[in-house]
Amino acid sequence: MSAVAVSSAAPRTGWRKLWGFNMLTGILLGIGGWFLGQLIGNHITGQDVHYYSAQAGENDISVMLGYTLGVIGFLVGLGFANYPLKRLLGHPPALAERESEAEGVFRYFTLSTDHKVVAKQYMVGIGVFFFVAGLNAMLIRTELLQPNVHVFGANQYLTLVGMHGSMMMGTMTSGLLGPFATWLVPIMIGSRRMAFSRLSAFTFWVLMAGEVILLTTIFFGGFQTGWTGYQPLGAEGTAGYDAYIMFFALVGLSMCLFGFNLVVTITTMRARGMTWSRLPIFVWGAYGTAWLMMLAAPMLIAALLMAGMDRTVQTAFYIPGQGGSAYLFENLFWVFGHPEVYILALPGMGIVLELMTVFARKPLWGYRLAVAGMLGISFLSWFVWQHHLFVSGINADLRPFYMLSTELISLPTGFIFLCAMGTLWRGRIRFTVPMLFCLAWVFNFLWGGISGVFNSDVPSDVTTHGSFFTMAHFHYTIMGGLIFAFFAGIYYWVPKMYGVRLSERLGKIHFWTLFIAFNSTFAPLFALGFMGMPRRVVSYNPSWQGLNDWVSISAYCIGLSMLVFLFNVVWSLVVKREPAEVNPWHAKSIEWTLPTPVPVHDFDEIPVFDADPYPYGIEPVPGRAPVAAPVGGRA
Amino acid sequence: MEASASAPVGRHIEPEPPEWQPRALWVGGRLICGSISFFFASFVFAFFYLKALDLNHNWKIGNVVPDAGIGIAIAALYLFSAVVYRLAARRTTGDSMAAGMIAVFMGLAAVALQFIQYIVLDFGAASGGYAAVFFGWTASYAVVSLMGLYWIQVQVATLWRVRREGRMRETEVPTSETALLLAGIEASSFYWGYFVAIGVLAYILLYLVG
Ligand code: HEM
Ligand SMILES: [Cu+2]
Repeated sequence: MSAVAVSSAAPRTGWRKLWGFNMLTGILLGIGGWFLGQLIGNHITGQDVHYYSAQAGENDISVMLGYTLGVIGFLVGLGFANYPLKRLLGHPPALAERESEAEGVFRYFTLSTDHKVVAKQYMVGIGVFFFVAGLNAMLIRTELLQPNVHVFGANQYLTLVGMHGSMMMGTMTSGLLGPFATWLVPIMIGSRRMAFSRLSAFTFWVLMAGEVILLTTIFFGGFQTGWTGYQPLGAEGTAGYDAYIMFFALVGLSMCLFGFNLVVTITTMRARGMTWSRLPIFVWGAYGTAWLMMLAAPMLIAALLMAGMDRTVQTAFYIPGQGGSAYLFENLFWVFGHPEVYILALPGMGIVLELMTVFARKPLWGYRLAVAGMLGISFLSWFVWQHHLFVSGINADLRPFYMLSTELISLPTGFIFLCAMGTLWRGRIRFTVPMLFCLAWVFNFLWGGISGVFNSDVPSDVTTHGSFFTMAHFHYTIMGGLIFAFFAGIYYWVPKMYGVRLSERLGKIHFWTLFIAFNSTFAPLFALGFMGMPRRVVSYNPSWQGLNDWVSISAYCIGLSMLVFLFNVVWSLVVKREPAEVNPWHAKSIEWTLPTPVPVHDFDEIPVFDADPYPYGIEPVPGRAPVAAPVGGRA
Repeated sequence: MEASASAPVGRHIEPEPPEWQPRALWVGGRLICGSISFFFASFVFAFFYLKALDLNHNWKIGNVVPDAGIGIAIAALYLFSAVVYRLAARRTTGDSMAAGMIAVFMGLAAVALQFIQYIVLDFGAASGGYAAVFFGWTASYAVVSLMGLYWIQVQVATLWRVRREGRMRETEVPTSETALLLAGIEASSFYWGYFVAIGVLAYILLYLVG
């Protein structure tokens, strides 16, 4: 059997490219779908959809139908229906779509099945919404400059908080795996592609559709629940809450399928010699995360489906007066929600350990311990969700169990720290920008973990729950952990992914300003929390203004630091475009043995792995390939 | 001709091992069962949670009893569909095509019957906790079942085409169409069997325990 070419037709050029299945068509059909759905909905309910008005909340059916058909239109416009329809007519399987280099930049605006293209789509898409959500944070801190209501009303303030939280959570859930796992896993395991390449593209574009939907909440009065969407506040909300439901359900769909795709790929498509015990630690991180994504996200989808049904077809899942219970939502949400926080954390651990070997020039210390830690965290994260509900009506006898199970997670988390320390110990450390971010990760995440123990301890959680202390806790873990690992990954892999160097000098400025401003923003929040400042309240006790102003100003400094990063990206990637070396970090993992830019098929020959992934400081054995590189020559 | 990741063109580029994609289908068929388990587990959770809570005796408001006859008919159609298809999947491809067609037909009939039941039902969605779970579970079950039916129909359509043309076609994956087809039939029939088992559980909880 032989390989057959996929796209035999010559690519269209110039303006004619706009015609066909691509993002533009997707947007047009998406808008068409929105109006069609609304039309049908208005017909069913006998009402019109109102924007920006007091009645904005009255027509959930039209809004929901509009969103649903809008998303379908968008996906059809991108060409996602073509292949499934072909298969329905009996056409043979085909894996590739728009993978050829001849498509140029146009590939990035279409359904592409090249994992490297999807990874870059993720990188840019996630970057955009990360900045939007960050901007919301600046607005939140602007309101909190004064203890009274002064810039936004309470309603708008809560919507900002909700948009910031939901968008960050929804976006950054794929923040590390989207760009880095999509790009790296197929290379690191020698598979050239994800098991289901079209699914990979699908998870990206569905996420983007969700993000846009979340932004439209402002047309319908916003939502007041924060990212957790609690009932009964949600059920009472205007149609702005429908945007939250739809957004998070799409995020859930994207997560679930992405995790599924990763598990299948890593399980079945490892090249010869890539045994489980040779899997790079980043791939292990992705693997543990992928299981959680695949299994936890469906519960989120179901919980939101129930919320949507309550609002449209008048079921009463969450409506206490009619046989439902708001607490049901809280439970379902957190059964998903706690695995979710480790979905955010695990890939970061993978990146940090992966990079530390390179910059300490040592093999990973305690490889098996690290793997055990990651899998242990994944497993335990299913048994702790009630720690979010300690003071929300849980049966008091259940508290000790969840307290202990939560504190137990510190153990496998400790393994990861141990492995990081062991790897650094007596290493020849190079303080490059990626390494600085990794070291900062250790510092920040430690504080996140320690404050987590205060939260998981029932007596102290009675005070800290719902306060700025909890808020500081999870920002230390997520911003201090995930976001720092995100930047470490960017500075480390962008030279390979994009073939250009990022300025090291600007990188260092970015790092130091971010590290200082981050700690200066979030450390005082622990104190404010202890003093009793609650989350998600627009006004506060005037005696706390000093600290709040300090925090707000530090937050602006985070914003400025991000502008340095943005400038670096534009300057290095767009203006200067200084080609990167093939292996600027002298790393030994396989992605650095490929030429830059990496050819579309990654390797000419499927690599054969015959060594551990981190052979730093180990003398090459004669007659044996010294690194985990493809044996039969390079691409 | 352009080389691409999935379809490397040219003599010097080694194709991927042919066993990868069939294995991916095998594993994928099992994993997707995990995902739908957690999805429907949410409804099981809601069922027991709201039933145990029975706030203000609002688990059932009024006479909330779905017609057991229709319930049994729906479950039987699904069950029959899954058993026929799975048994045939272990035999020749000719059997698979006929069984697949029967399975799809039965499945669609079950979906249709479900929506007929909504029309003749004498309680509405707002009749308490039970009604919420009943509508939520059965409706999403019907919708999700379309996914499985689509998967089976793809196998049927391929078999149909192969029979008409009298040969397998080349695929751009370095795996023969025969191997992919067999893997597809195996995975889809496993998935469908598992999915139907959840449907039987739904029948037991919603109609017998309810
Ligand atoms: C040793 C590790 C950890 C422990 C013991 C721990 C414990 C807790 C506890 C008990 C709460 C509930 C506090 C309350 O609402 O009163 C909480 C909240 C939270 N944690 Fe952690 N945590 C840990 C690590 C993490 C990590 C790694 C992440 C994410 C990357 C994370 C993210 C969150 C988030 C987002 C919340 C707040 C959710 C909300 O109410 O909006 N935590 N943590
Ligand atoms: Cu938690």
